[in-house]
Amino acid sequence: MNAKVRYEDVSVGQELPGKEVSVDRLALLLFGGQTMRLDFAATHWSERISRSVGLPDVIMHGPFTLGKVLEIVNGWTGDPGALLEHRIRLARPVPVPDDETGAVFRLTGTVEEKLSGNRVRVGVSAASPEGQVLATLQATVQLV
Amino acid sequence: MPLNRAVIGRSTKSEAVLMVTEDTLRDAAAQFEEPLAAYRDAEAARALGYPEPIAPPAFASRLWFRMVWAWPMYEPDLGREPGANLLLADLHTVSHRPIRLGDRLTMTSTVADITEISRQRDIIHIQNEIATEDGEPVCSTGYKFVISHADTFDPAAGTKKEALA
Repeated sequence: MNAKVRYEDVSVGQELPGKEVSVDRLALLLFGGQTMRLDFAATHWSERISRSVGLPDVIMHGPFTLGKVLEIVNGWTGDPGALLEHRIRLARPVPVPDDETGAVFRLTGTVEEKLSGNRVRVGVSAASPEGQVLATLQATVQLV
Repeated sequence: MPLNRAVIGRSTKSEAVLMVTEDTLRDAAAQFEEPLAAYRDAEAARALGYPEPIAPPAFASRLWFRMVWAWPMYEPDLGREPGANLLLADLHTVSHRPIRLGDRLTMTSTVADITEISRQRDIIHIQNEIATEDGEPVCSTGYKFVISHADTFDPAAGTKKEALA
């Protein structure tokens, strides 16, 4: 592990560089994973079935949302292997509309606690452009 | 109909080893759309201290679908009706080291708990231990799914039964 962030340079309350990421319908389809056959649950590809169970549209895979939210942490440390532990709470299903943008996540993150062994705990929030919280994440990261 | 709590504590193990190949990593990095060099390039991975390219950290949370086929969601014993809606609410990962090129992985999945939160909804907690074929622990993933029961839905038509009555 070799994060580019030094523990001694970090303070509680410090903000991670914010990031906006989006996922369009094609990315959602590819995430099902043709070669790996990972997750083709109908709510990830069929608008008809999504609506029949009360969803507004096809929705993100939970692990895909996790991957997008972790980008703010990986971008900060420069080392995806520095993630020792992470927990995401998915506040609501994230619809992926069939338009030019798709689903948009506005990511903000804060250093919440400095731990022993050059580790820190960070909190991340993912919100829609309208400000609705889509997911929150807490992660423990190994710094140098 | 609520889930069958008798399945709490039951486990299963992946039948086949999952081999992490260059293709696996290339697909994973493309699917997550996170273009970090450490996912593809051995030199970039070595610069971070890893012997081989590594998988995106969220990749581990996909393996339950692939390695144990979303067990026990399709077990008749669980009592989940075919139309019951499944939503991931909480996902907790503990990493001992990154998944990397050349890994031969196994998974053991356990039903850790089932909690009834209303007559219509249960939360099921599934805990997965991912290790190498030789038994080296790699990471664990814990999922909490909210299952909304199909009593009020007609899975075939996808229409609320009350609406048809």
